[in-house]
Amino acid sequence: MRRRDFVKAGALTAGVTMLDGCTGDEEVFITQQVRPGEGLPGETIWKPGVCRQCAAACGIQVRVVDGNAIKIEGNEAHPVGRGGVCALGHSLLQELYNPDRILQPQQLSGARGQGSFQPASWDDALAAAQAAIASASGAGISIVASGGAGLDGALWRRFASALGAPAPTFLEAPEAEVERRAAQLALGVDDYPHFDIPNAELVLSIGAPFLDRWRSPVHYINAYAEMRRGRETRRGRLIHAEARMSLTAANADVWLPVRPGTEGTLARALAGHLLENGDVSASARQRYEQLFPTVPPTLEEAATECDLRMDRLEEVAGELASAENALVIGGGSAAGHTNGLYNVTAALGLNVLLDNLGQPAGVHSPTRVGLGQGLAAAGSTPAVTLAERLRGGDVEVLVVANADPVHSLPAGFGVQDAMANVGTVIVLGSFLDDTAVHADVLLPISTELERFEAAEPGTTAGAPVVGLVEPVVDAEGESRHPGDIVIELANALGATVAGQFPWDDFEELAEETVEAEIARLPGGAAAEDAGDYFDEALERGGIFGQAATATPPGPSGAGPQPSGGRFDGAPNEFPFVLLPFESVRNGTGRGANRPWMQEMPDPLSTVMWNCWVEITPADAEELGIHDTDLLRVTSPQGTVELHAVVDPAARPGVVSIPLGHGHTQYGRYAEGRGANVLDLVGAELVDGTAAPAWAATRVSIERLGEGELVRFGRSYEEMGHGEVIPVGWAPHEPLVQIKTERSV
Amino acid sequence: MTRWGMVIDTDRCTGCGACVVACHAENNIQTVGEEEAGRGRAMHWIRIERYYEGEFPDIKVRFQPVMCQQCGHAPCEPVCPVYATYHTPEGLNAMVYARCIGTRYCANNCPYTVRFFNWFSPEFPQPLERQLNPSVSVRSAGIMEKCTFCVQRIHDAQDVAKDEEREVRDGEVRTACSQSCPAEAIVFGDLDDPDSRVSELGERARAMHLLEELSTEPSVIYLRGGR
Repeated sequence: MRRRDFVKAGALTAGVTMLDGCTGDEEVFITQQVRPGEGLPGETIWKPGVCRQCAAACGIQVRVVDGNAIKIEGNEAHPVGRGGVCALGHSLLQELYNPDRILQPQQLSGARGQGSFQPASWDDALAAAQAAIASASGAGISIVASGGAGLDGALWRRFASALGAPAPTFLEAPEAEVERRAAQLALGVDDYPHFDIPNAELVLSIGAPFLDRWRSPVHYINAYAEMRRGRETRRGRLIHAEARMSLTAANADVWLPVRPGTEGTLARALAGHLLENGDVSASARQRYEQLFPTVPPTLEEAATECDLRMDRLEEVAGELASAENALVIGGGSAAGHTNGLYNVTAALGLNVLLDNLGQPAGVHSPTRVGLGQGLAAAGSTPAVTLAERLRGGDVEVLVVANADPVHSLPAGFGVQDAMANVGTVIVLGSFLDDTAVHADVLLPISTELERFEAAEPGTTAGAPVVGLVEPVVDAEGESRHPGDIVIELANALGATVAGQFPWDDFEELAEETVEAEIARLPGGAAAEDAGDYFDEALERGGIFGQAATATPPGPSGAGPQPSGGRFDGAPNEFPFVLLPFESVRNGTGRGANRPWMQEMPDPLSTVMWNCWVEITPADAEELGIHDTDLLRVTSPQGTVELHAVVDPAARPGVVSIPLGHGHTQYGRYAEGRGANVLDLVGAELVDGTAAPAWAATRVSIERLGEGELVRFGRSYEEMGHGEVIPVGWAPHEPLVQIKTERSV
Repeated sequence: MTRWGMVIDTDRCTGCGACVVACHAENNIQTVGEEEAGRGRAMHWIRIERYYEGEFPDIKVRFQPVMCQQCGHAPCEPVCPVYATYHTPEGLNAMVYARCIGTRYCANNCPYTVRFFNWFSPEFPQPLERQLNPSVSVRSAGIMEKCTFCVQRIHDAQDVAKDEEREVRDGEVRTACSQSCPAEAIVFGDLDDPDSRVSELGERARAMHLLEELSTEPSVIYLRGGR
């Protein structure tokens, strides 16, 4: 019995239960008290769910005991996660049961931005939100939400359209737009493609940190492991080009610490080598030269420009030319420079030369379902346009849903200061975060474990997928489904708007949409009954199609002109290039309010409970910096103070700082820890796109004094240089070493 | 007789840390906060060790997940004055929390530094405590703790098998770290069953023990990376 049916039948059941209770039939009484799907007291029930902690939207199974969610595991049937869960996914439980969660509507009670609120009833809070929206002009309303894919994205688009407002702004990863555009240019596909990594003999990644967080850590880690050891006969190899020693670089056989902003040159030079020495078919050559008609740089030229050793570059070029099955992934920081579109197009374009489009171990067209695409026209407003509107005072009402634009957009966009220009700020969220502190009305939302979900992941898995699940546990406090809030807001905004939202709630919308679009859903055409199809999907955890292997059409015109990266700040004043990165600890900042994630050591720096700056030993020595010292990092945009991690694997002239720290709000575990690296990033955009160039900033470093930084392992300086460095927990001698290689 | 063991393929492991958080969630491991973590009191039953080799730009990084090795000849066992740590017939180094008086001798004698002492009673600000696993005791101040090979999961599987009048099947018990691992780098099973996956993997040429020269006879087998 589904939850909806159960609720409808609730009153009747209660009556029967009482009657049974009065008869003294204890067995019947107990059976009747147990809600369907809830289990006996102390009994474990596993329920399918969807993780929405990042855009990957992995399928999960949740262990529920006595109505409490206890543990998250992966859903093995789900094509994205295939049974795995990442660290951030596990920590969803500490979002659900977070002690700082807001569980009652709040209304501003003092000056805005000070964080003083008073609890309100849902009726009052919704009335205030509705009044603000009703009195604003359509063009004066802006909507910001966390993800544009799936039914919730479609619902927000429909809401914006019904109000006559600009399309919503969806806060996706900043490089996502660049990667998508590059895939269009290089491969002729309309979204990021699917890579058949498990079957590849050689994977070359140019900038894409696919084993860190990036598009879907669980999916790519699984694919990588299969590439390594999924075949008995051979072990696939990984070459990674990135200026930072990321987790992906750490796992690579060959790491190319390329000079930031020259990734496109590297890719083009490798293409040049392939054209000269590789086994390139005439058609592949012709298609590639359509994309890049100019003569590529030589390996010597690239070695100089990219600051790479010639012998290493030749080795990589040779391996790429001779590999039986090679594929090239591009993105990440390569997409975050001003020439990001060129860098990633050049990287993805290598696949055209390798002739692997649509082949096993190659690149395949993205597949997606696009559930609810009939609900609203596609489209979104770029974050930079939203920021302009905010700064210009064009926004009368700002609706923010499950997103934190103040913390997650570059400081150069000026969103924080511009919040004062907005007439009314309505926030749908679970926490008082850096954006919610500016709210007039705060509406508490349920987490993905407490709500009906129709979540569509990105295109990483190569299979059409919609995560479709019922609530795993009851909603905490007074929190409500964000989709239900949209429908309720719309219903009070006059017949024109209300008429476009005829559903009782999000669940009904999902059911109707699946029914309406069933013919084009995986397995839907053959389904005899839409209701059964829907129920089976709920039981499974979603609608999962087969992996598709459509061939990307390839380039249809010329790609971006070759260009070098520009950096904000003069090299003499700001000598270091700044690389922000996503740590597995808390992603772009979402995990910062959970003790598990704070106390989880970063796998490379081993830092816990704080943020850090990675600097190479040579640069540190020159500036008199020792490990854990407090540093002032200054860019043309701003200044932050952080502790040093002297990193033997850092590239000279580059400093790296993890994203997602330095929340001014966001609860006891997150507030005031470290600094937000985006405070240093200006308003520069990636050429030819509206995406922020988040890796195009130069900084200066100044030592302020000694400091303390909590680490799980020991620092580089404590270990001595140039040796195998064991890292142990305890203040004992380094006893654990890989020094015995005898077989068991 | 069953002898529980684990194989960790370091060529699959990327060091992502999912196992670290999975273990916290499954085993009700407390977080101690920044100050105590700074004193080396953070409790991670499983940790990712990171090793550097060489110098920039020819520098390599290796990761190695390390937890209690469930030694056959466990240095922690004979030193416990109250028999709180003992060897089970199925090869586990078990902890009886109720017996432990917190001498910490076992931690001193463990060459793998995988035992953790509760310096304080844990705090789970409400409603965080609702996530606690009812199958696992919450340890209080003065108690030593460590990886149990998720013994509660072993017992659950044994109960189900007993009800169904059969043996526990290979792959039926998965520790929390193993189940969560996106790379499927951690495999758990019966080392005494020659047909089990751990037995098969453990016989590969890449197999090794940590600190084999100490003759602790660990139940955890590592498969060396291919670099």
